[in-house]
Amino acid sequence: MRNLKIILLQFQEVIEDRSRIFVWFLLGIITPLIMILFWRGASHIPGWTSNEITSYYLLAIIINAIIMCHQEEHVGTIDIQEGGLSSYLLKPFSYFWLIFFNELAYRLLQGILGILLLVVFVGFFPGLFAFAKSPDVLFLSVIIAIVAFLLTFIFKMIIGILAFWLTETRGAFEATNVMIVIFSGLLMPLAFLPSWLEQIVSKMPFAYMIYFPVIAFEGKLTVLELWQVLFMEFFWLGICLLIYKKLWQEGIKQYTAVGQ
Amino acid sequence: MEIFFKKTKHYTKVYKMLLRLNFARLLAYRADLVNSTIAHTIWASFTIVQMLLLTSKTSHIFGWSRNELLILAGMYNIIYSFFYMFFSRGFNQFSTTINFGRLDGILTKPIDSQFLMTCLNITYTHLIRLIWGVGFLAYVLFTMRVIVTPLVLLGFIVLVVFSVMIIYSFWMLIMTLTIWFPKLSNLADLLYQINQISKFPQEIYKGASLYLLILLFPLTVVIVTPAKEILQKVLVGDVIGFIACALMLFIVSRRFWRFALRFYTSASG
Repeated sequence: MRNLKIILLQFQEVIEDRSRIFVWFLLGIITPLIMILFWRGASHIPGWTSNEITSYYLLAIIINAIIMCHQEEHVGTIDIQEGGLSSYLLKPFSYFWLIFFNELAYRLLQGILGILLLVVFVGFFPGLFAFAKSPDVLFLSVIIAIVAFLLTFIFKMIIGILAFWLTETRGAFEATNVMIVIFSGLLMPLAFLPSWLEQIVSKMPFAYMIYFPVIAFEGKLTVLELWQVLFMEFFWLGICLLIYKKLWQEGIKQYTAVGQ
Repeated sequence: MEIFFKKTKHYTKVYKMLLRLNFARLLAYRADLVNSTIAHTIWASFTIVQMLLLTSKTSHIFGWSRNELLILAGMYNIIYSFFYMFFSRGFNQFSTTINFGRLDGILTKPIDSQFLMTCLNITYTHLIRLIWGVGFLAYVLFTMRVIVTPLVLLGFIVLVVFSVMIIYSFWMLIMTLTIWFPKLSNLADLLYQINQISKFPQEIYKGASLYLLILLFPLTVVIVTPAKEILQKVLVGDVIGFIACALMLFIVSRRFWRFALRFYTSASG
């Protein structure tokens, strides 16, 4: 009951911010839309039709809106550097879960906008989308998307709490953003990368945030491959959780805040 | 005419002082200097890496060769480095200045409000982006064996000035909307994303909606036109149209700002 109250409060807070949320949503669709137009002018890409590329980017918009968390700046700058964390530490509620519910509210609201966009596109261009048809594949794809959300959340928490040690965090945040854009599949499907780079990137955690969930929903993976993706997601989730716990334990000892 | 020269002299004096003050601030906050330099280096290299990756499996996009697309990436760093250096910090603060009623103080000063809103802050660290852009552009031009004559270079510099004018006016037109919607503090973030439109050839937008194309047209020419000049492929008509577009946009954005000020109601409104 207490958790539900907290979730509802977070939703209320997020809905107050709806005009900004709409702008954030627009922000996320610009790169994929430019990329759709860009690839229309490309010569043949082996294994991908023009429709599949368009479908990939449109699904990437929705997956990005629902999965990709953005709490690192708030955690790092407002809570750790400006001292907002002090008030949370005194509350009988975990800081981690509070941020989690807040981010969940943002993701759900942006996800609704993403699904509305999807409905509009499917309505106007019904033949454009390639979806997985088998219920098994769809079920596993949903699980992959949920684990991807957890993975991005923990990963961004790690980046945020680096502020315990860094006095200036902008460089770290920008570097993370660039890596996510390039290696998560937001810029282009990993299959379009040079094959040596694709091999490396497909083992990194970023690929499991956007690329694999998108191609899972597109039906480009077999059931066995889906299980492999899930295994890798849980592997990275475990690693990230361990890193986060260790960093939080050490970081909280570093944290100081002053007031009158 | 005499008033114009007097005003120009006055604003030049003020701007010189701003250049000095901003430089002093740069040296005062050294951690910020290091941090910003790292962040700008990351974004400058991203633009180049992005184009290298996008062209790794395709040799031509809408008739543009890989090297020509790389020129656009280098040019993007050069032109936007000027805009970000001289104006972007001012635009970043637009909505907070309006939302918290700080525009009151600006309006009461004996200096143009648009000048104070957009030109007060200069971020020298964007020079790193300029260096990246110039270095990369020189390298690509060298590999393409393009000879840049002094006359072409002069034409290029003139077009860069007008490109920056177009970007400035486009941002001004959009950011002025914060007079009516002051809570949209992330509007500047949206514009940073929209800027990406300029680093790709104009031809890719031909399939997009006509309304969108008209709205975003200025940004689709700001990189391509100077790039064509350096490749000596630009037509006189393109240059005249480009300069006319820059001047017209500047006048419209200025008038729109003055019109919008009538609706400013301060923090209590």
